[in-house]
Amino acid sequence: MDFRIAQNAALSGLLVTETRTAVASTNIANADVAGYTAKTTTVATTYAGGRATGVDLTGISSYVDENLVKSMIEAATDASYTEQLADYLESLTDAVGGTDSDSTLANRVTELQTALEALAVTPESESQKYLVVEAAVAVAEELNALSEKVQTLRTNADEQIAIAVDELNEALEKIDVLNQQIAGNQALGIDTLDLEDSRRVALGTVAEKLDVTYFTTSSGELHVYTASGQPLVDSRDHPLEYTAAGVVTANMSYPGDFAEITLFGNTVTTGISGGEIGALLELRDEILPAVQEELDALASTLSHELNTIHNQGTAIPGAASLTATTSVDPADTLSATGTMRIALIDSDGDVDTVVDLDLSTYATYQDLADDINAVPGISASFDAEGRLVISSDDASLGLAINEMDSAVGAESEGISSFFGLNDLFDGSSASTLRVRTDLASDSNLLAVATLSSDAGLAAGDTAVALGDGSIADSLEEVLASSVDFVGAGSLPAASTTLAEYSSDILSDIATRASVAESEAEVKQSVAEDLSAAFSNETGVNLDEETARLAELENLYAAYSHVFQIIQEMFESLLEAASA
Amino acid sequence: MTRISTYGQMSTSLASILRVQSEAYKAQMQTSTGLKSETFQGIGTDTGRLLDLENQLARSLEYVNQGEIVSSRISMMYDAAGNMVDLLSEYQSLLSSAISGNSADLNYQSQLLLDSFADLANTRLSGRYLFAGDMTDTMPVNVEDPPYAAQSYPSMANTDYYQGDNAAATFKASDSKTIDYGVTADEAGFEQAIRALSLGANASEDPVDEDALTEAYDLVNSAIDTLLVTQTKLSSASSAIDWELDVQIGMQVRLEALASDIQEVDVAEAMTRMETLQTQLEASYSAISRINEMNLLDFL
Repeated sequence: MDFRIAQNAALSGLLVTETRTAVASTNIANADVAGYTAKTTTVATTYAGGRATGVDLTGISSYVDENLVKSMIEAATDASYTEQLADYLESLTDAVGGTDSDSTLANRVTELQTALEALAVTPESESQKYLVVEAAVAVAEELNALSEKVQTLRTNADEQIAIAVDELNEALEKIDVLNQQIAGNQALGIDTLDLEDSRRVALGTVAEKLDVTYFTTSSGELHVYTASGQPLVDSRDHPLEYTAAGVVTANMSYPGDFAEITLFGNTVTTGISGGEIGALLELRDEILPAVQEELDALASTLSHELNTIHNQGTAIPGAASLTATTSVDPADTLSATGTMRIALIDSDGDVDTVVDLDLSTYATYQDLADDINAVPGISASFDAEGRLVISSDDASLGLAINEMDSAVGAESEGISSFFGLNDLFDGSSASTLRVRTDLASDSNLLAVATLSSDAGLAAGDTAVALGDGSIADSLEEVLASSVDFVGAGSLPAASTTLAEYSSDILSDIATRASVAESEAEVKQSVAEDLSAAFSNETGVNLDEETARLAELENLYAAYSHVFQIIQEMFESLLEAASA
Repeated sequence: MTRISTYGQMSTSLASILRVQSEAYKAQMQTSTGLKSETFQGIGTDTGRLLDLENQLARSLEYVNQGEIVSSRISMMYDAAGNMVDLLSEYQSLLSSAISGNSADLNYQSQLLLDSFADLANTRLSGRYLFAGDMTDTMPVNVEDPPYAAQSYPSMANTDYYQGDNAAATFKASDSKTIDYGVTADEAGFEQAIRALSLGANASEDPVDEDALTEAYDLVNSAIDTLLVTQTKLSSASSAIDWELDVQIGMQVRLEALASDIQEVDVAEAMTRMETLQTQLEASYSAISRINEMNLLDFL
């Protein structure tokens, strides 16, 4: 009977070696597959009646350190989060301009200031007026461009959220499918290690998208939750839903203008703060809108300050017509004090007609318009949108207004400033800021001088001197002086020049980008290290497998040899028995 | 670590190589552009300072440009005033000669001098009248009658000849300094000179109107004194501007140096780093290929 035992022992050895060869060969085949853990076999002696009878394969296992996996997953979330921030902020910084370019927003604001300085020295120069208007156009265009870039990035982020949600859902579904298979196989006692490897990879994909917590149930299922506790995969997968908003503009904000990311109809948007989706949400709803706020603060302050001064001035020759930018209901009460002066001036800058109007005598806006209209040679009325339009009836005479001591409305603005009759800029946000259209195409409409405020000004007197650069001077002064800014974005309330505020905005952008880049490098490095550590602990080492194969080859040869010898012995016995 | 995985090790080595490659590329870009970084991201927190320096530099350059323009105006005004003083000295000789009996051409000569004086007061530079205040397109002095009636003894201050306004020209020479440099032709010196010349141009030649000529002579003295003071004022303004320009130019040099510190890279340093990185890269390529060559299969 010992022959049988010998044969069985050899046979068991052969079978086990076959399996072990298969495992080694599978390891080698999967050596470069991400997330594949090297499988090892455990063999043990079989016994019968106290005697060893062979060898049996007791298990195939892979060594996985679950703590390392957890760290790896968290690091993947962080790396993905910081990478998104760094990419988008880098893109935004590129739009600011190169370090050796002279055309950043800050440079353009200074160019406007220097152009005004030159105009103040030679106010009659038409080419210098042209340069000032061009410089103002350049500032507005740069603000428009930066604003557009910010909103384009928000649109991209929004679209990418939708894509990320789709990718997430695919991974969640995969985890669910694998969960079913693993739970089923475990119940049947079938090895599930390879399935678990795939599931771990899918979990990694999920972790890249958003921050998650997870655990494995006793039946072998992996349950995944968002960091705020909503289930993504439990007994089945729960896909997220999100619809992108299309083109994003500056006045769209979350919540309200963007769909929620929902799970079963419940909002999860606010519960996501890490991973790719977390980063995209932060960019779309916090970081980029903060930059937009800063740009808007600059635009509105620039517009307001320069318009107030420009409205005090007169172009030479006078304007053919002045149209208000502010709408009013003509029948509303006019609350104003002080006088205003309106004049028609000829091409030499001399007075043709001049009238002073006492603003406290008018009950409504219409009354004021009527009185202006009553001045010979001037027509004044409100258009369909309630905007005051004043025009000169004679093509050779132009309009000029001196606000004198007028104080209109709640903020006691000068009359021209209140209506916006002679603005330099239209629009007061970074995306809508423009130089007034007629001024942009005719730089001679730039108000450089002031209509004389002499008490006895009469027809024939000098209304505006050609060399009067008082407004150019004042415009330059305002750019040179500190102006109050309210807190906007991440810039605090401050009193600084417009050019310095522009540098502050660009500096804020560059610093954010630089910090994000460093953060991303650090997190990326951590993620790589953990991934490498995991791989080194659990991954396939080709030399190891090759050595094992060589060993198995020898064992197989030895078992076969034993088998062969036993077979020969049987044959000898049979021969002897039949003789 | 006591064990590595083939794939893991390959990925890690590749990742390091890519990192070194990226650093080498950055160093190469720095060497070829001379800039620390092409975008402000690479400058980070220094962005605000760099932009402020650039802005200050741009403003300073403009101050110097405009300062030169204003200096040339002042220079012309100074010369004109000097010529006026010379002209008035000539007139004084004419008056002395007339008072002592030689008054034959007095009216004619005086009128010539008056017209010349008016021309000097109507000096232009680049098409703008320099003594007309803000009315730079208007001739400041018109001694025709009208508007300026012939003067006779006893005379009173009369600026009817003046066509300009009395805006005073100022020049902003730096962020904190404004310099006055305006002179208008309705000032006392001009007024007295013109009145004196008009007296001479219209006084009786035969017999000689001694009162008129004496009054004219006194007025000329006063006018010369005042015009000399005007010249001094212009000269101070010019010096003040020159001094400011020097300050600005000095500042420009410092600003450029500060800006270039932030913006530019030391080329020698960048080249050295690039070479070091290149060597490192070559070494990693060599290492990775050696490791890949080592294979147990070769020995079995």
